[in-house]
Amino acid sequence: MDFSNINWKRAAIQPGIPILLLVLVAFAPLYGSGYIVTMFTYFILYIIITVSWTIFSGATGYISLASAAFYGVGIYAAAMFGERMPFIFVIFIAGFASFVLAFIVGAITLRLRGIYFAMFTFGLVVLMKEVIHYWEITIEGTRGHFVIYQSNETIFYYLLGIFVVTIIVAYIIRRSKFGLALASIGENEEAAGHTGINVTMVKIITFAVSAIFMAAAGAVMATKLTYIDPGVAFNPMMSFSPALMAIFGGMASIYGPVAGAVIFSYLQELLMTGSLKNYYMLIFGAILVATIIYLPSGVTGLIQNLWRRFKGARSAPTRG
Amino acid sequence: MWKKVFKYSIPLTICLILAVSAVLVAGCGGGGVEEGKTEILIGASRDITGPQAGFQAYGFAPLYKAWAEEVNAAGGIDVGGTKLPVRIIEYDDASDPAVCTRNLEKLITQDNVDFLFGPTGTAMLFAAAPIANKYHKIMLCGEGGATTLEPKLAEMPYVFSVLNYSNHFQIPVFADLIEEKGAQTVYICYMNDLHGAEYRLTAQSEFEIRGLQVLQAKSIPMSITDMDPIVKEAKDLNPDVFCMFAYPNQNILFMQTAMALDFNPKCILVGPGCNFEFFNLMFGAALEGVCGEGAWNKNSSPAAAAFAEKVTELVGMGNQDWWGAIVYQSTLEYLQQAIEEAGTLDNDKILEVYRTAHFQTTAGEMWWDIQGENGGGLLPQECYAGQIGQWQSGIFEVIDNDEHNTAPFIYPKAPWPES
Amino acid sequence: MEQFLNIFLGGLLIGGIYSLVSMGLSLQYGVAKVLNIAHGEFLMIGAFVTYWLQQSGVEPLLTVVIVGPTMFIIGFILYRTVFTSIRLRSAHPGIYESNSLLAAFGIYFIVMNIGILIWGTTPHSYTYLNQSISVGGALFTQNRIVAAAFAVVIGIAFYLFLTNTRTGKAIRAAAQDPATAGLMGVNIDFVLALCFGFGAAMAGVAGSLISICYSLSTAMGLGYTVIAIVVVTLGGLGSIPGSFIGGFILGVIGSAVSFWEPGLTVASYYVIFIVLLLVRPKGIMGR
Repeated sequence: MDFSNINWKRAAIQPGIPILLLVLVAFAPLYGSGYIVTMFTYFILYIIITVSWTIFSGATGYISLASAAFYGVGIYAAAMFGERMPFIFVIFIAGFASFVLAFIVGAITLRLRGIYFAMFTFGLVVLMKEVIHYWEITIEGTRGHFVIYQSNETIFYYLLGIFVVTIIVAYIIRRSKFGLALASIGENEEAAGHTGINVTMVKIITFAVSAIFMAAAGAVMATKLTYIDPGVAFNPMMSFSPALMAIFGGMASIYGPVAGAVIFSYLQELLMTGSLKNYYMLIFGAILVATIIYLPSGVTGLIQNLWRRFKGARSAPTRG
Repeated sequence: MWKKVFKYSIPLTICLILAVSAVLVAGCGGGGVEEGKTEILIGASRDITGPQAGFQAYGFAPLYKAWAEEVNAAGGIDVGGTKLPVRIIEYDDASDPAVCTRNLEKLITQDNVDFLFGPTGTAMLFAAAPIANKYHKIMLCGEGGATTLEPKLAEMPYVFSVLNYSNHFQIPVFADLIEEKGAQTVYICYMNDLHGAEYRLTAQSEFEIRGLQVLQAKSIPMSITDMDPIVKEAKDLNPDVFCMFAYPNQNILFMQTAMALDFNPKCILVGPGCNFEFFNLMFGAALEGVCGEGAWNKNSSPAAAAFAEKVTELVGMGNQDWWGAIVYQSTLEYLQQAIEEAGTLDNDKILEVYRTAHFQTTAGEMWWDIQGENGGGLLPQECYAGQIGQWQSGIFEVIDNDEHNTAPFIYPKAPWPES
Repeated sequence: MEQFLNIFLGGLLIGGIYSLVSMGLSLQYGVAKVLNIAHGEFLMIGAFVTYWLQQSGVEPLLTVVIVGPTMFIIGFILYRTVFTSIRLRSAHPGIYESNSLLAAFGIYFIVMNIGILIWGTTPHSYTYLNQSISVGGALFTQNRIVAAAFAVVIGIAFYLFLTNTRTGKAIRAAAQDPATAGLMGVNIDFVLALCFGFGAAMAGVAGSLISICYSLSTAMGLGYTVIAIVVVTLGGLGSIPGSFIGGFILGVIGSAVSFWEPGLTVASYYVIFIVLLLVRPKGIMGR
């Protein structure tokens, strides 16, 4: 193997900074107060959901609002199997169930393009919520289930593990031929088909793979919530949040969704429990509208633009 | 090469700054409360912007706040010789159990609260109770109560369920009342959530034990806008008793529809909502003979009369709650006396007091019915001012058929007034 | 027979209101291409303004004259300030649709919070024409019949406006092909803002009509938005008559399901919605 082509500095810096950050976060339970762990748990949860949403929707441009369905499947898997088998199996079952569901949904929505796909996936979430709700109330005569709880640290490290896998998978997909195929579908689906890409298969597989992580995260979070019901599991906000966070962060790089998820969930945290709680939705909404109007390529896009302008200003004199 | 470095490092730096600032902000809030306690902190995750927010903002929250102000005006609660003021920290959960658990964790682990007040609504109790127990904090669960939580309470020593609810005396008392008057048939309509489902199951079994026939039990969604189908079907079936277990929105809708379609069974039980004075202001004479869960009124006792006056002044006429207000107040008075008796804020010591002590409160003598060996507590029937109320000449009379009674049960109810 | 009348006429009465709400969304979504999640919030504002005016002694049906134009102006300004700039900045229609959906979400949060700050979250209601009329043995309250009649009259009047006036024709042209309509000399920004304004006005008026027969709360909006989205899909995107008819169809289906099992009414809407998207995404009147 020829090592001379490897740019060692780049190789050190590119994965180096994320790994440094990861280590910093990983030791949070050791140095942080109790609540730090909870807060970071939610940050990581939203990062997982947002990044896995971006794997499919960011690349292809199909806005999926089914995230809550997959997350909910994970939560219900934990509620149903949590007491019967080791936790790690529950997570695998959740991931598998969600993969199957996403595969089926992907297969039957092939004809739907653009906004119809978004509407279908949203309908799916609410339908699942309504039907399970009805089943619980009228057939079982109750609502919701208790889930045996895990310690905060266990939950945190499980989520961190899922987070690492999600990021690696997202990175691999983005960098592989598969990712190239996805991107070309996003640009022009018909043209992509003509170049020999099996458009259907690529779309369905990616959609199903992205669902695995959402369900796995759901299964872990269920043990933190300790009581779950269809309203919690299939909360439509879980569908909208990843879309908002990804667009807020910018989808051009993998850091965009991560930054978006962290900023948004931190904002939510500050607004909901601060003195502004009565104006929480007002401020949240205003930021959202402002972002859409003034930051169409997200926060990372803005920073890159600023950087380019800064560089441009520096090099301007040479152009005379 | 540096281009690359900058390209990746800038977004990352932002993440890093955010992460660090998050740590700092959260860390600052958490430290420095432990030594030299200067106040008693009580945490609560409440529905401030969600579907139950109306209840909470007008009916419940002012009671807790007024109690804290009253205690503080008297110098605070005596904890082993030093008087400490009370402060309530309140977060919004918009009736989302997921947010509620998170808020409670924040209150416990970051704000270091000493006690917890429960959230708003029955389903929310399920979310909150395990958290309080996990972190060993006493929680007084006010507005809600659940049959299915009872067996769990034995394993949740820190949870005290305050309010009376379906099988916790209300429906059995109601079933006795209508059975005695010779009612034969019942129609049940219930909200498709935990509250409705539990009332329905309890009602169905209590009625059937007494030989009453349940003609129909239908669930309605929270978002219902058209009650015509229910009322028309009920009118066809012509039951003696109609039970409506939903929230004020749906109950108001039912009342309007029943009046418009002239559906007037011999007895109507609606609640919650019926127990609020705004129901009386809204429907006036039409409310004559309508029953609701509750109950207390100013004739319950001299202390109740004084308390009623105070609450009306506090929350205004319409938000006077003739179901829970007196119980919430009394359990707060109990909490104060229990802290003073224990002489410490150590939750485990106070728990010892809770298991055995009887204290005098607005609602009379109060003690806890401990579940299981050393579990959480429920209030015994004697400690409530009443279970079922009936509007009679603008007063929500207690009609329980025991010493709590303020008036006899009127059956059948009056017809709707001509409009 | 009485049962059938109850279901069918009951469905048509609520369907009239659904029609009006959905025509509003059809204009915003079908023509202006904004999937306006905040649609129901305009309805909520309309309902509460009527409630306010009714409490100070104004005849509820007359408030339509105040609510309609006010909501129109709000909607028009909103489109010109928010959505026009999103449209101009978006590279292609797909981005515009998804970005405007997100912006609509922001507006939904803002309007809802303002509503809560003003009117709180307690339910409100007043009684108006609360006597019932017997139609072939089935009983209906007068207020519902009046509200449905008003909704239908407004719907038909608007349709005539679309087919017979110059502005109406411009709107229809924009609905079919905005780019070409722009080339033909239609001021496309103005027309789309007009559509958005009309949509908001219809939501507001529908809110006024709803307030005379049902109780109100600040959380009522989203439910109607969802119904409107289903109806618009049912009727066909951009088809005003489709939404008008779709409203009645959904009303009757909803009424039938709630006679059988009220707990499944909302679920039935979504079943219709999902099946429709799979079988005929263009809707019944779509081209």
